[in-house]
Amino acid sequence: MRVDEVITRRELLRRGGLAAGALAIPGLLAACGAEPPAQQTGPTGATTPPQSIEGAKIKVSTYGGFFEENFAKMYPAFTEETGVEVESISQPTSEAWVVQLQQAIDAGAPPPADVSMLSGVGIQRAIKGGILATYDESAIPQAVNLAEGYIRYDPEGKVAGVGGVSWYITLVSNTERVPESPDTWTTFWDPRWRNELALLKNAANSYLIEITAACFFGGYDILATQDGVVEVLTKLQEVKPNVKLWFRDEAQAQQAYNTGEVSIGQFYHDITTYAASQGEPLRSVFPVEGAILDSGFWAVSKNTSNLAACQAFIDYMCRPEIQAELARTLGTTPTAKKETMDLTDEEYEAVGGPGPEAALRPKYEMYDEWEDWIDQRWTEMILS
Amino acid sequence: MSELRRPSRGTWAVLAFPVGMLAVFFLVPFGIMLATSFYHRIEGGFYTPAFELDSWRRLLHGVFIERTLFSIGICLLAGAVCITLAFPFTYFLTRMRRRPHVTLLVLIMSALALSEVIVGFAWSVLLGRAAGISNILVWLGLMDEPAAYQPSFLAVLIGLCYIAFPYCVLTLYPQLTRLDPELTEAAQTMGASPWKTFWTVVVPIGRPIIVAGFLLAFVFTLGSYLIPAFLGRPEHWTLSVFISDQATFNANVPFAAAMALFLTVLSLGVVGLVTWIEGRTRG
Repeated sequence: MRVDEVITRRELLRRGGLAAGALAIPGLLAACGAEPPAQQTGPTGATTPPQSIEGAKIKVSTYGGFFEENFAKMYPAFTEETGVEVESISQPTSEAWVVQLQQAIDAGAPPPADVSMLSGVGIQRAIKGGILATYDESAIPQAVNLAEGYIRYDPEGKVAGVGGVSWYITLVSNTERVPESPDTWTTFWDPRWRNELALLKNAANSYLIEITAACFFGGYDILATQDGVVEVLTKLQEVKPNVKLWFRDEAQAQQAYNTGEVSIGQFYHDITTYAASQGEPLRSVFPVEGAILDSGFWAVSKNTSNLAACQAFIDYMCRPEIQAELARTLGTTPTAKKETMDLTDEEYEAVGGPGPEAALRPKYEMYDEWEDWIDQRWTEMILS
Repeated sequence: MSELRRPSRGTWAVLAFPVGMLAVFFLVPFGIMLATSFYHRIEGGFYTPAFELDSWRRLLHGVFIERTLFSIGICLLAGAVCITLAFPFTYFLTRMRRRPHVTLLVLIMSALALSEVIVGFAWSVLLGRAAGISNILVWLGLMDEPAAYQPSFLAVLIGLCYIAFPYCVLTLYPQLTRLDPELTEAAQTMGASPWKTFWTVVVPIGRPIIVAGFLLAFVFTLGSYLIPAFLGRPEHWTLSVFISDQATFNANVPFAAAMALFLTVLSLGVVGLVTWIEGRTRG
């Protein structure tokens, strides 16, 4: 009897119209994530290099994406010649990768890669942190083919890094949004690009301090003192209203450039020319003040168990024919001297623009000495 | 009524495992982080064990304090927005017939399967100029040309609310399901409108779980760094973004550890304060 009463009352209330609020239902999106680097299976701890490297297995990491895919195509020929098996793995930007290497090595774990590609700033940190294997220059006979400045030494004068590839950071624009590209970095300061620029987020990988010094202060002399750097940053601050995207990784910027979410900014010449060849509405222009020239150095993790195999690999990658092949397929700038390669002038210009002499070089020593001080001022600048 | 008993040996045995796990996987890393925050930073390199106050000094004067306050502010706001939407949503959800009830619940829960990267990227496209919702408005003739709604403060807030909303619903759901229908029925039989019933009966009863859901959303969004990094300008980046950048790109783990500890202590302070106010003002 009582139960019936309750049911009747509920029905009454329901008919009275209990309203239910509905919110927009989120759509399902396919999830995907970056694959973590695979764990090394070999033994740990640095050992005396074995006499024979045949049958050895090494892990080589390069920047993920089409960079790594194209590098991996070079490895089978090396394996055939030397018997050293190469596993190609993807690494993030070298600033982040070097931290992962350090943590693995300090923890006594196998390094995530035997050979890594580290940028100028990345290898400097790795040398200072003592996480790399170092060796005599004689271990890399092919290094004689490299242009000047492509061997990095530790404080004892041993080799810690060998230039594997160079790349330019140029003025990149979306051809649909920018019909005619400017040819100077100073365009970043032009109010017509308000909320249209994409720039790299870190001081030590955007090299915007160097660009500003070259454009407005007649060169790097002003960067000799901290007061000078502050002056340069004050000038750079004027760019801020124009910046829509401060990007950390290439994927984020690539998407924004391709779709026209941003119109113009700084980006990598090799990736841009490759994307343009695949039909993306992009162009890369070498600015008159000089594009930024940075390099990737092959570096061997301290506790690799196959130092000799790593050295053989690095030596192989220094060969002029390999360097020329990389330029043709990947669009990177070779580290080998121009005269040692069979690249035509046209091919060389396509990847290197007006050449390294006309390029702006990162002022690595500035970041080495004042890293945190610059980072603090830089953070204050982008937050202002 | 059951009396509170002294814990027996069996109770301790059952508690030992979770307490042990908490000690090993929370307190030990927390201790390591505390120690690391005093380590010596090598510029251009990594760090070495030492006892220095440099990282704390850098944190306590300058832009990072302002970033911390901003982070707490935006996450409190995200928590408030989330709970304001989630409470009525969950209440009416629990009052639905079984079929739509389960369907909606499954859809809400399925949002939990999305990683923060996917959520951030999806919202940056939706709020973008190239393929975003403004294109629909242009197509409908309501706008002349597509506009970008990100990066912006609102975009970050939307992203944070999106990731925290399902957790709020999960917190509220068990208690609201068990809410005795006779209470609301009694109110409505006496003439209260559904809205008045909800406001004067359901909300006061649900106050403790409203506070719990709000705090969960606050703490959860405070840890998010991809959403602010993807959807905001630098001035909308929370402290978590800077912690991640310092540890990942600058290899400055001592400074990252100091910032992380500072944020943890402050957020615990906010949680304590809100709980205290809730306790004091309970009728």
